[in-house]
Parts: sequence; C-alpha cells; structure tokens
Amino acid sequence: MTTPTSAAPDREPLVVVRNLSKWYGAHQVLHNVSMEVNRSEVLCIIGPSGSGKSTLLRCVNFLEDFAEGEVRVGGRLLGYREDLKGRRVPDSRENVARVRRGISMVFQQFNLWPHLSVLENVAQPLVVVQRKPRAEAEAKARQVLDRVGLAAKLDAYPNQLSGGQQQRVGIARALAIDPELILFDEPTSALDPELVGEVLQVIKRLADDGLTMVVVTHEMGFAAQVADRVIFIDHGAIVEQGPPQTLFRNPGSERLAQFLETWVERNQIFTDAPSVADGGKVL
Amino acid sequence: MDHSAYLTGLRLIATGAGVTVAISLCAIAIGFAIALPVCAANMSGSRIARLLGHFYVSFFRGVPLLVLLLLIYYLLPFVGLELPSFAAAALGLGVCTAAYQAENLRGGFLIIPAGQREAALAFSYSRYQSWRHILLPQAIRAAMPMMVNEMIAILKASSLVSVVGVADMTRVAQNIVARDVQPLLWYPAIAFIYLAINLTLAHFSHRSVGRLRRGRPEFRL
Repeated sequence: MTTPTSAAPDREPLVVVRNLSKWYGAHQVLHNVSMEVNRSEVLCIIGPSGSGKSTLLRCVNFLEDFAEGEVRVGGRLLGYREDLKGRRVPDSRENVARVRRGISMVFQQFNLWPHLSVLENVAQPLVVVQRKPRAEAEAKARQVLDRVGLAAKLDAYPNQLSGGQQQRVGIARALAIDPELILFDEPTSALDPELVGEVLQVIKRLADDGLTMVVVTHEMGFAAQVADRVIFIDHGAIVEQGPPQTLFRNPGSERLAQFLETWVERNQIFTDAPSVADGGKVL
Repeated sequence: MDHSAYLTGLRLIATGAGVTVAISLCAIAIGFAIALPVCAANMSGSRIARLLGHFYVSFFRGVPLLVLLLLIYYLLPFVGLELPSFAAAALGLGVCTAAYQAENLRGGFLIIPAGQREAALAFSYSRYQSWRHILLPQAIRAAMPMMVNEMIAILKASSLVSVVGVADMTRVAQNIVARDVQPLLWYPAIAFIYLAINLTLAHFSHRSVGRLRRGRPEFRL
C-alpha cells in the first residue's frame, strides 16, 4: 500500500479536536470534548448507546456541524473559518471538502450506492472527485477489492451480496482514495452475528498495515486486540482513555466499570458453560 | 367505395399516427426538461422557489388539458407569440405533463435514504456531483414506473390536439368518417393503433426499466 505523505511532521497529531460541544435543540449531546488522533494510531471509541460516540465521529469529518469548539485536520480548521472580524462562520462546501479529502468513512448501514456495481462503487469517487482516468480508477478499485477478498464480486450489485460482503465493499471504497485516516462508524452493528468476524478480520489487517483509524464499536474483544488507545464516552463526555489493557483491566471510573460489567455479563454464557461455548468441539 | 379509397384512408391514418407519436414524444421531452427544474424548485431550500414550483404544479394539474391547449393557441398570439399548431400543441401537452413528471421525480428523490447523500458528502462529492451521479439516477429509477404511466397518459391525451388544428390520428379518422361514413371501420382501427403504440411503449419502457433497475430487488406482492 502507499504510505500517505504529508508536510506535517509525523509527531504532530493528524486530527485535533478541541472543546467541542454540540446540541440537538436544548439537549446537549457533546460536552466540551477534546481528543487527538495520532498518525498510524488505531483509536477505538466505546460507550453506551446514545452516549454521543457516533456523533463525535461524524463531527471529525463534518457530517455533523457543532456549535462550539474546533476540529483540525492536518493543522487545518474543518467546517468553520474566521471571517475578517474574527467571527466563527461556516466554511464553504468546497473548503470543507478540501480539508476532509484525506479522510474516508465506513458507515454502519454500509451506504453503498445500489445503482452501481461493486467495482463502480469503489472506482466512482476516484473518477468523479479525484478526476482520475477511468482505467486507472478501476485498476485501483480492483486492487483494493482484492485486498478485502472480493476480487470475484466486481460485477455484482450491492443487493446481491451478504451484509459482510457489503461492508467489505464499503471498506474497499474507503481504502481506494488512499486516505490518511479512515473513520469506522459501528462497522459491524448492522451485521448478523456470524458475519461480524469477516469484517473485523479485514479491519484488523488494515490496522496491522499501519493505517490510521478511528473505530466506534461495541465489539470489546476487537477493541482490546486492535486498539492502541481506547476512549470511553458517556453522556457526551470523555470519561477516560488509555491503552486497552489498562482500561479494560483496571477501569478508573465507576461508569466504565459498570459498562464493562454489562458486557461481561452478556458474554457470561461462554465462560460459565464451556460445553455451549465450544459447541461442536465438545461433542 | 373502392379499394383505392381504403388505401388513401390507411395512408392518411398512418400519417396521423406519425403526428400523434411525434407530438407525444416532443411533449414528453419538453415535459422532462421542465420537470427537472420544477422538481428542483419544489425540493429547494428557498421558500420562494418552493412557492413557484408549487404554483406551477397546482396550476397545470388543475386546469383541464383541453382548456390549456385552447389557452395556449389563442392567448399566445396576443402577447406576440404566434406558434404553429403543432408547436402549440406539443407545448401545451409538455407543460401539462411536466407538472406530473415533476411530482413523480420528487417522489423518486424522497425515497432515497439519507445515507446515500451522506456517503457522497463523506467522499467529497460536490452538490452537483452528488446530484448527478448518486441522487438523480436513483430518483429516475424509482420514478420510472410512474413515468411510463405518464407517457401513456400523454399519448392518449394527444387525441385532444385536434382542437388547435393539428391533424393527429383521431382528427384524421374523424375527417375520413365525415366523408365516407364508416365509423365502425375507422374508429376501431385507430383504437387498435393507439393500443398497439402504447403496448410497444410499455414493452420498451419495461425493458429499459429492467436495465435501470439493475441492482435493486424486484418487488412483487
């Protein structure tokens, strides 16, 4: 794979979020959130449903606006700029697109384009946005589709694929633009349980390749294995963060401890009843 | 009545059928060209644009087509626009079908899930690129069955254009009957031709819809 190059030194965080607050009407969904994403880092964001973790992720590429705070990508302000009088005003769609160009996204509901084939889904952004010649775009698309194990499905349409395959197309589409950062918004939450594995496997491989990514997930096991750093969010605020070993073994807050508790309880069946967990092997 | 009279009649009917088809195709094209901006206005963020779009749809859906054709043919010369009857008729049918097509298209846009637009946005598509490559193709696919209905309706409605002096198939048949007095021959004949044209239209639309609907599940009850 090609290593993204950038003028900014590698030590500087790729994304910096400062004091971000967001409201839906009177309800505040994000409280003064600050975080950084470093290059080649895999950051997992965990937290209960409705805690604001997806909203935070969507602010990082400005799919959501926010009332206060700032997001910088590669040092550049995203979504807002200062006008001549120093007031904060929404930036033009063109400028937003320019700043966010190095970020791609994988959606919970895949959001593949149903009228395009698998190959076209992946190649079209290269042709339309990056203005690459079609042949070059398709060669690139073939290459990334091969990387997610879908080289045999180029001419299929999204509705002919399983959920897991669709999400892998989504990942290929995100890879094709040679992003500096990929955002994953609960990439396995819409999948049948038996399809979760194949998608996590692909994401794990990307992590091993050194891609920078932020993953909002409910898969604690995956976060523990893959993340360099985990952020726990509750009620729209970062409660704690750190390496997964520390966070999962010794939660520093009551709330994280409780959250992990429910997850452990849900999976109790596997530890209490090995005959069930091991399934066929015991028989 | 000898054989040559039948042959002449048939030739006239064939010419009339050509006029009917030509005028309908023109009307559908004019209609689509107007429907796009009207639909865009109806879905625009601007209140004034929405108001204008709304007014257009309400007006042209609310006035009978026959009255509309007479209005265009007799009113336009007053504002200095003298149109040949074929053009006036095509325009009349076109502005009318545009109102329906705009609504069909709007329905097509409305069923596109928000995630489609969002994915385009996340991949830095401009507003136009997203509209052109992601939204419009899906809206047209979704609206296609309604559009085919509308084409068939317009083809049938084109039998009204004789009021502004266009010699379409219906008018030609009336003329022949007025001279030869054989209504039981010529009227069933044109009914059959209308039916045949519409069946052909439906057949080809069905095939193109099939092609357009690639990648979408077939919906059957």
